[in-house]
Amino acid sequence: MLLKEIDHPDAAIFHVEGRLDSSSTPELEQRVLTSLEQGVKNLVLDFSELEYINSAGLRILVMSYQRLHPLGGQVMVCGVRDYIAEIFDISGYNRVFSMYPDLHQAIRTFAATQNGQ
Amino acid sequence: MHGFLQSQKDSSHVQFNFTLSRPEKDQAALLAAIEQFGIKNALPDALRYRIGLIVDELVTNCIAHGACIGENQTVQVCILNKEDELVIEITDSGLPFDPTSHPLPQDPENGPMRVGGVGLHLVRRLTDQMQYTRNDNRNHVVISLDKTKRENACSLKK
Repeated sequence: MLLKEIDHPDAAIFHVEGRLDSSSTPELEQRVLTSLEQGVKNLVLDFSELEYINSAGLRILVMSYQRLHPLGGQVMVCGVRDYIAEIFDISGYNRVFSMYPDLHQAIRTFAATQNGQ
Repeated sequence: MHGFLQSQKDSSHVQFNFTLSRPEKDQAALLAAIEQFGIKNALPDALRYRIGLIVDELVTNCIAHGACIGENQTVQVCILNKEDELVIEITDSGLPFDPTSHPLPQDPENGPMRVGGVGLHLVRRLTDQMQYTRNDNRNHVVISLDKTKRENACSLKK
């Protein structure tokens, strides 16, 4: 897994490339937890180059949602490939997280929300 | 379907055969080997993902719920790649665990699932057939995937 954090004033944005499995989830979980503890309200996962995710990876998103949702924040998932989108569909998580075709559209959405539009 | 691969373990029909002698430490090597098997057999990305995820979640269950940990426990994974079907057999020495009937915490039709049951739920939904038996103090799970079935395309919620 290759993990990159993209600087943004209103969100923690992580670009995840490769495989998100049991061996790589601790790294992402630690980075996400650090962001949440710093008070971020929007978490954006750019999965456009994600090749694999299992239930351990999904667990990080759920944990984040459980922390952010009561605070009015959200978990946004972008760019998932069709065969990974099926997993979100089957698990019902596509109705929990905000799903976007790409990172640009996700950023535009919460930027509009921040501006009260 | 059960025993199909068991009876052919020494023949050339079983194209993938991997034994985890320390399941909790060997799981990553197993998944890497399955990925290479899929590439070598020119399996589509979606099918490779499906195979890896099913095996990943079931082996995780063996370790987490079947206490299949340590050098005295083994998990064996065999895969047969046929023209229209892919058959996966997982045999483990852990505690009895039936993934076909183990209760799930919540029906996803009634809302998002608790994460604790998601792995098993995904396995059930991604397989076309799954059978479980308990023999010789071992769990045997045989899974069939229909290779001709079109992958579901999911429209993203915008």
